[in-house]
Amino acid sequence: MKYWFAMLLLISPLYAETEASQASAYIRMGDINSTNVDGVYQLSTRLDISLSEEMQDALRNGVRQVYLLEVQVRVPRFQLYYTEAASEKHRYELRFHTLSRKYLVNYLRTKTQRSFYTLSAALEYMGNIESLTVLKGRQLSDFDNFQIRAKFMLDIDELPLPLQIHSLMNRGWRISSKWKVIEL
Amino acid sequence: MNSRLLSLAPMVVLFLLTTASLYFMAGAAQNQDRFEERYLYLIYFNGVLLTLLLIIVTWRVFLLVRDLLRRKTGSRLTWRLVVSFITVALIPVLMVFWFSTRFLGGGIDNWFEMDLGQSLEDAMELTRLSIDFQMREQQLQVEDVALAINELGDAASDVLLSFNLENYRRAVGAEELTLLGRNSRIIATSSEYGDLDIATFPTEDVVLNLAQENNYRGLEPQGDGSMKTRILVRLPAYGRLSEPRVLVGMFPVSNRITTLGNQVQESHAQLNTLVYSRAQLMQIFILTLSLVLLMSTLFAVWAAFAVSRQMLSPVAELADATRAVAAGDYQQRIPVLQHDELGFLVQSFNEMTSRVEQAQNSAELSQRVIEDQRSYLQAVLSHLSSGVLTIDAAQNLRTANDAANNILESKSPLQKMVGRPFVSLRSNSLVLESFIDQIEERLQERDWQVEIPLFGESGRKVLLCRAIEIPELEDQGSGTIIVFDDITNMLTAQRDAAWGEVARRLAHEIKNPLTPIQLSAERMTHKLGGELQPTQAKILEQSTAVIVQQVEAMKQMVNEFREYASPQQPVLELQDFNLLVKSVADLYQDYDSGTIQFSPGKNVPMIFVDPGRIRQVLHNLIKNAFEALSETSDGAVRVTTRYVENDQGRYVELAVLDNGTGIDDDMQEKLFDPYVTSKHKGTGLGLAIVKKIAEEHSGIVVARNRPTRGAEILVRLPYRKAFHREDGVNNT
Repeated sequence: MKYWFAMLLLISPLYAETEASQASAYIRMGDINSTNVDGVYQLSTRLDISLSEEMQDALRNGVRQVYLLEVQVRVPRFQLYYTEAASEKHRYELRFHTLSRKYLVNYLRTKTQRSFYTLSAALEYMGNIESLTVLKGRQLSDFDNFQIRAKFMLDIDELPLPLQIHSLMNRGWRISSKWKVIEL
Repeated sequence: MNSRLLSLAPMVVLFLLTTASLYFMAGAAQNQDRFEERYLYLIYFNGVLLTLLLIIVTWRVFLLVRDLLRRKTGSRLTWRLVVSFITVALIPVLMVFWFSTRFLGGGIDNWFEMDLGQSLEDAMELTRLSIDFQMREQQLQVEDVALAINELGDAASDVLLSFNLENYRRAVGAEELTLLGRNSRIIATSSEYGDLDIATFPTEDVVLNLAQENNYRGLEPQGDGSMKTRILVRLPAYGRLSEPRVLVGMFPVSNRITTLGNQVQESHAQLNTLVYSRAQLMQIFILTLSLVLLMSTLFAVWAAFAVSRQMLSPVAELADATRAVAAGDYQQRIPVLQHDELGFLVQSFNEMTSRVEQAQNSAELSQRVIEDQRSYLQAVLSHLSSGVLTIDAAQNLRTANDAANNILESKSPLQKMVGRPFVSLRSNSLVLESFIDQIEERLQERDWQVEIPLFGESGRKVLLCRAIEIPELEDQGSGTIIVFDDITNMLTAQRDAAWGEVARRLAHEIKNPLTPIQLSAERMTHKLGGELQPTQAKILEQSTAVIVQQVEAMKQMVNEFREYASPQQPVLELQDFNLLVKSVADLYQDYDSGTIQFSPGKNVPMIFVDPGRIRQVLHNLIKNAFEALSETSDGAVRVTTRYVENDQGRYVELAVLDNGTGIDDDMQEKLFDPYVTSKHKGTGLGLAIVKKIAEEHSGIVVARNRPTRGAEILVRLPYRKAFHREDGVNNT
């Protein structure tokens, strides 16, 4: 729907892509290590996160950014076709605290928050996922065969509305890692 | 409901939906909360409506362009109306749009240029200074504690350190006091909550900061919204072997300052976010305005189509109806739906077509009456036994009836030759050729009547032909109407009746006295024969014999004449004509006057004749020929037959030729009349009977002198298929 609407807006003369400023934004996910102790999975991975100048500028201007780690359990149906059996989202809030002049990273599930003087330290912290418990309480044993994969991305819906509209027209804001299949 | 109003329903519904959607969008843009929640959905919804409108308008434009290319009625007027509508609608909308964007740009910029931002910055700085002041004091306290710990010496046990830290912590009012060694190893700690918080460990960038300076103080917001201050103080080195130590103190920030700080922080963040996103906000407002502009324009176009259809449909209907009327459909009526000038025009058109239709109906009625009369006339003409031809002033055939075809034996119907010159129809049949030859000169005359003898495929016939000039008509000019009847049978009947009457009278007047004469003569011979002298008796006998002989001759003559005069119907039988002729000719082989030779023709077919009557003809003709040879020493009679099939018809011709004295010129005309003879003997009925029998067989007799010597008499008997098809049927 969003892409469709973005396509529609292409006809608008008001639309102007600022692609150049978005060139450096990306999220790359390293290999995922997982442990399974009594049906409880714990993931560990390293994320290489780079924000564009515009995104950094927005952050320093009080725009909070929420990042999602989405974990999906998929069951194979046909040759190459999978259906989603379960999914889980872990949210990380990144924002700039003007009073303390620090970048805050808050793991919203546990409200665990750390503060950093530099953005790179904050991103380094956020990208260092250590022994994250996922799919807790899911009955994965019901499935004979399944696959778990994960993706890390900026949640556009959590941006203020003007930026949401802006991000619809600006691909630089829609940063996401590729799906990474977890080796079980 | 009116169907036209009903057709506007989709447009009205879509318009109301769009207006409501744009209203909510405008409302949402004014209210931050509603803005957040609904704006995107409203944009999607408006996008759907816009797409729908675009599809509808594009389709309409496509149809209009197609109509324009096809030059459909009303399309050019619709095009003008649509262009006018768009121009009228677009100019004010564009002006509003331009002023709105200028106003929005300038206005929003002015709003964000207020001093609110600076005030918040000041409040922030004030809070920061306040907290910093507090942190400085806390730093001094932690430094004091650090000195005190340092004084305990390197050898102080962990228990002692922990005990002292607990005391120091309480003394300085810290939440936590922790002594860290190399690599953040905890040497001793004291916490208000018992457990050590993971957040106690300084982050790497803090450690890095500490490496540059001997102490660190910093505000650390917590995930639950509270704030803490972190103070790090490096302990002075104590002895060579002692590890570098850092005293970490965590102090709570008072609730009041936390609340105020959070408020300032939140307001600052909100304002900064708003300022930062003003460009995007402008985009949204302009997007909304653009949507309004685009939708207004599209609605204007759609409305232009709807209105033009509403306005022009009577015109288009009128144009279509006019075209239909021009094509001859006078039943065109257009419903009068409007009561304005167009309605009046439609009503006038309806009245006009109504009158035209009435006039057309009258004309059709008249035409039908004329056609009926024409048909009636045609029927009368076709059922007439008389042939009727009409010829116009230019001598072209105009009409002909069936009887004309039959009488004139036309090979192809004369009705199909209407318009062709009358004289050019000659080739159509032998009868027609002869007919035209005989009346051609008379066609210049006004009224005339003539009897025309003809010989055609069915034999000889006589037509009574009357011609009357047709008065000159308005558009057809003058002409001649020729009416003719086949009076052959009538003439025959009249003649037969006349001769029959003569015969009856002769029988009565002549034959009756003959018997007493004969009886008286015979009685006179019987009574006086014995009483007279032989000489006288011989004279008496000779005289009475002459009387009786002459009386017999007179009787025979009267009988022949009666036979000639009495109407007889030939009894037709299929006969081998050659055989028939031969059987008679053979009887004259030993005749004294001359020889007879019969030359039968090849391919002479079997024909229908009355054999007795034909024998009579042969006897009469052969006898006649021999009688003509009485003064000729080398007299010879030749009898021939032949079958002739040419353009003039098909017939069997019998020719009796002699080499006698021939026919006198004065006899030529009346040769076949009764009692006409050049001979001393004979009744003068022989050739008349031949002619009569020939005519009874629908044949003709021609007599002419031969080029060399003698005469020839030809009898032509028609070869008629009808008789041959109906085997043996008498079909005269």
